Amino acid sequence: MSYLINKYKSYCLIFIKFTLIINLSSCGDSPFLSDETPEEIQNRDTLNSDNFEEEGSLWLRENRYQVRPLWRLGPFVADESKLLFLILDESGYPISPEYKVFLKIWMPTMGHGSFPIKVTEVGEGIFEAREIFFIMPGYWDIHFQLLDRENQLVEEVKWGLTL
Amino acid sequence: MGTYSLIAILLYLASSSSWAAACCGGGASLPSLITGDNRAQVVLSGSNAAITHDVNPQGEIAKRRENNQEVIETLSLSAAYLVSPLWQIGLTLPVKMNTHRNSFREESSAGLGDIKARVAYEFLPEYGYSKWKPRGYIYLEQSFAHSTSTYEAQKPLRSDSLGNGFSTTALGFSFVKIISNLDFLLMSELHLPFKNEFQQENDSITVRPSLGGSFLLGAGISPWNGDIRFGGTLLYSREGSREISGPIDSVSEKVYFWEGGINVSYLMDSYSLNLFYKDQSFFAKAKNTTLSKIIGLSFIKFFEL
Repeated sequence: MSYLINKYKSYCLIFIKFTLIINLSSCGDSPFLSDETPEEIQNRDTLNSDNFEEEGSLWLRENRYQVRPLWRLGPFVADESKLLFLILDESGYPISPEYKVFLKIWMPTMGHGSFPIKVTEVGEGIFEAREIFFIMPGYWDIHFQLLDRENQLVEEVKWGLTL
Repeated sequence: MGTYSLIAILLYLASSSSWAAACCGGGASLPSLITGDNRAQVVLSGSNAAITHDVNPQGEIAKRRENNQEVIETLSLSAAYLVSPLWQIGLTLPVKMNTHRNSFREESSAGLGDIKARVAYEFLPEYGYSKWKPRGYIYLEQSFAHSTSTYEAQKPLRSDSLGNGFSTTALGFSFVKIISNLDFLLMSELHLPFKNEFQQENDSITVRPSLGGSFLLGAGISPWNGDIRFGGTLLYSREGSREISGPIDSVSEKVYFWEGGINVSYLMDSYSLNLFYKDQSFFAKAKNTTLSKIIGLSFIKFFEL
């Protein structure tokens, strides 16, 4: 009996030693990870956009609100990007819309997005979006959304870009 | 090396999961089956998968840089039990840890992955030796989606995406054959993930996945019919498009990748140690997914009849 117990104890030890060794010793690391520095994203001011109007703005609420985005940081793949955007009225002055302003990024070819993104109104009609993580390269849609008090979508406009 | 144990090792090495990145939720996973004269088998396996490349829908492959490192570590316990000479049941419990880091942030999440249960039937048993006739198995496997998927992950780098988000039914078959000190394996399966609804920040989305499948070829050699075996595998995995409806409607592109693998096994008494390496970037043939390099070690314990 004690022979059997010892035998199974040794099996258990082998279980632990040989199967946990990879997981416990690697701690989220791998010899296959790249140490190459990231490439600069070129021509970020001329990013592919499927509905960016000539003057560089997007429109909401039947041209009542004009959205003018400007990258403050990035856009980067994986690292945090920050976007400043203005919401202007028909006369071109910053205005706080009567709806909640929300930002969502979505990768249509992969069928997923990346959230949450923190949007703060830093001045009247001036919004800063932080913690934007484009977690992989490819085509992304940035959705500028207006939400009502029940967080229901009122309207949105998309800005497409390829990273 | 015992013939039946060798087949079991071959099947296990060929079938251990190949994980895709947290974002993509895919990955081929063929089950481990009892293929020898054993009553039961238990497999404990540890693997480390580094996401090394991204592939766009046009099939263009981009190498990941140091600011986008992602590692999926999996510890998996799998058991199979022969309930009659031809029927068997099995269960797989994976524990996963995802680590994702960029230039300024590192995230890790760990938890139970998607649990799988299966039933298999040996439809082509080997009662006597045949030069050409293989042993054949058919199986039905059900995975249960209970882990957080990329559709509901909350962490910015999606490290808390531990499952693919869909309960999935898979139907597959496998053939194994040993000729002298060579062994061969063919496995194939079709799987149907079921639609699921996910709660996101302010709203919910419904995702309708479509049929996927995988096909695997394996071969190995045991020099001088000894206790050591060297093997290789070739896997093709494909996932159908996904229809997303909700505040954002979209249809994702189809996904596929090819994977090459090598492995070495050592049989000791009634258990076996196996070291494997798999590379999804080796053939550079893929579309709309991420590619990994995977190393792993597994331990198989056989319980005789």
